[in-house]
Amino acid sequence: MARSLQFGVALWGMQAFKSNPRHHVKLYEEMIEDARLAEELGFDTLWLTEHHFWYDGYCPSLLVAAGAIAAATRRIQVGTGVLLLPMHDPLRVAEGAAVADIVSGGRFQLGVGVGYRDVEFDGFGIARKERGARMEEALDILNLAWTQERFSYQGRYHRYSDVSVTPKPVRRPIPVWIGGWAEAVVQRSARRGLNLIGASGRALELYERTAREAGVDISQARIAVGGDVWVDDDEERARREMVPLLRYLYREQLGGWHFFPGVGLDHPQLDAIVEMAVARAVIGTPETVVSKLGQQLEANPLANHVFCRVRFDSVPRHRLRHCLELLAQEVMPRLKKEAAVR
Amino acid sequence: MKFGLGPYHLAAWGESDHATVYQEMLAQAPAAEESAFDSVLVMERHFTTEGFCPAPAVAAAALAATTTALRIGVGCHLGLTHPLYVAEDVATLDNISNGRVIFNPGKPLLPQELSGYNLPLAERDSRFWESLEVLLKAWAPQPFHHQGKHYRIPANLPQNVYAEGYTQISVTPKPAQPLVPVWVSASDEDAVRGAAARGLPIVGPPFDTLEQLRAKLDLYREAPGEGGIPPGQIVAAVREVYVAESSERARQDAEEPLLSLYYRYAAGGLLAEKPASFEALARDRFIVGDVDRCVQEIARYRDELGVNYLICRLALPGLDHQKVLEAIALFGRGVISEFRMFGFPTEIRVRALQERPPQTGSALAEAGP
Repeated sequence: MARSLQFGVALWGMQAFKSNPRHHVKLYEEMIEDARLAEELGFDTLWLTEHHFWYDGYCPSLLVAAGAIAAATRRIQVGTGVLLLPMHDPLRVAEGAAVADIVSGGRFQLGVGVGYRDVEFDGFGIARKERGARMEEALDILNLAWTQERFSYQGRYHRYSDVSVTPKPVRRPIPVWIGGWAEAVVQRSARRGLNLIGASGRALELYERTAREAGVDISQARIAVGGDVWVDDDEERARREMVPLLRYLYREQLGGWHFFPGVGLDHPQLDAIVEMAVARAVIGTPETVVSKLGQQLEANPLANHVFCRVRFDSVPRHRLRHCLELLAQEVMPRLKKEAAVR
Repeated sequence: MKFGLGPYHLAAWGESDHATVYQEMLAQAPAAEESAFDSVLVMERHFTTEGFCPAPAVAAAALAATTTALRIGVGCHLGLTHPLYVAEDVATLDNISNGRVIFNPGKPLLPQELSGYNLPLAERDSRFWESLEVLLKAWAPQPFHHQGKHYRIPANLPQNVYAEGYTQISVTPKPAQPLVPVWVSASDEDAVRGAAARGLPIVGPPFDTLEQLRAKLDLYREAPGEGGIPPGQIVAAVREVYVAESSERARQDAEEPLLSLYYRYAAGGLLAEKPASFEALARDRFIVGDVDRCVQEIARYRDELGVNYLICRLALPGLDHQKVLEAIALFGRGVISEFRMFGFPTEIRVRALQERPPQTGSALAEAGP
């Protein structure tokens, strides 16, 4: 199936890890530099990532960060990958996203996810178990806010009467991506005909089936596959440098945040889970990466977007730059060409 | 005296569209930076016909990315939503801007803002002040716990089992500045008293006349608490300012945009009186004219009220972009220099206005080697 493939880089979160403390001003300065470089190199999208109240200063305000990138770039699409929508006030997100879309001249992509850290929900006074229902309401509200001159909404968590959200975004609505692979998540995305980021395999089959059964047209939907990617000229060096870093990252984010309920830092299963996550990373020379990402695309015929998470803290700047260059020059064109003729 | 540009509403008046209005602001701010302005400000309003900016921190981040020296004023409402959203946005903005943020919180003033966000008027003031308290705690270096009338942070909801034991919370990243300047919009007497009690500067709103500002500043000086205005404290006011080669030209350009804006203000309940005519509105309120007239008027705010930071709209609603750029350049050259360059000999001043040096600042940079 011939596909017009888009190619994106991810995930900018501007963390200052304990293993490599940095000044956040420098991290945001580098965010702008990276966005300009990614644009110059021809990537289609650049994705930001959000968490709250974590020691490393993980970016909590993606729309603000997107506003800065939008003003510093001309062509690249700026996306949130993902904004944890159930923790936010959806009306506020609708307004902020509209402003980000306007500043960028219609280059903003809103990726949303449910979030999972209890501490984050608790900071905002929201119970985590409400996240699914809050997500549904919030998606309704975003759409109403961007497309209707006026609307009222009576939900369980959100009630608005006769509001007229202004200004409207450049695109009505802004493209929304749902992040995740759980059944409820892909079904939600399919029923609404939204874009999808992070799901593959059986989850994508479920997405397609759900859409078909609901009579929803997903022919224009963007489906992103990908994950952790690292490209270097030397395969051995790439693995030597990246595997320990990924291991550290996953231990902290999966264990430290109870990604799997009950599996904390001291859980005996954590190491095995971390190794599985690290094993999924695509690391190597351009040839290796083309072949592995090509396999992902082949296995997921619905996919028409690749996202490469290349932005890891503690990686020296010149290494990241080189990785982005190799990705743009050696990997992206070959995958786009293959997708177009297949 | 220091000078800010704005606050920008970013509304689209008449035929203009928002994308263009935002791009124009992003071109005007660097021009202000090259014309000796100190800051640029954006403010927040919701659910307006012309689409005033509802997310000033997002627009301010764009300004931060396109300027390097200007301070970035962000006029956020407090009380409409959970205060930690604003705390995080402004802290992130302060890092993006390398510590250039001036935080200018204001109360939501329009009826549709309160009803849209389900905020009862009776709770507006208490939510405003409690939110400000939360922001200051959130920006301080240590983790915090907050229990107030409206907010408990962290909430310690029993359903959030993995949050059990987290009695404190740390908003990250912290602002880049040790203390983010907080200038409170002096929209009413409660705002003035509250700011005075907390030792925070106030910003006089544009719709007040000079006499109304005087009354607020008198109240501020007499309010219990810190008392008086300590030396070095900011005394800020927003004015509708516009300058052109002649006072007639300035009036011609400014009349229609300012009338449109003040009809809106009146409809939103921000103006005490019914706008009768441009003259009536302008008296002791607008600063519109040639350089000399602007200098004279601004001197009144300095001498009579003690204002030392004037925030000048200049980018009047719907006014042509080129005219705004010209006004910014002329204001920098003619007015700002007048309030900055003490001991500047009169004969040089007169010449400087008549003949601009052939190449200065940005002009030189554009010309290249």
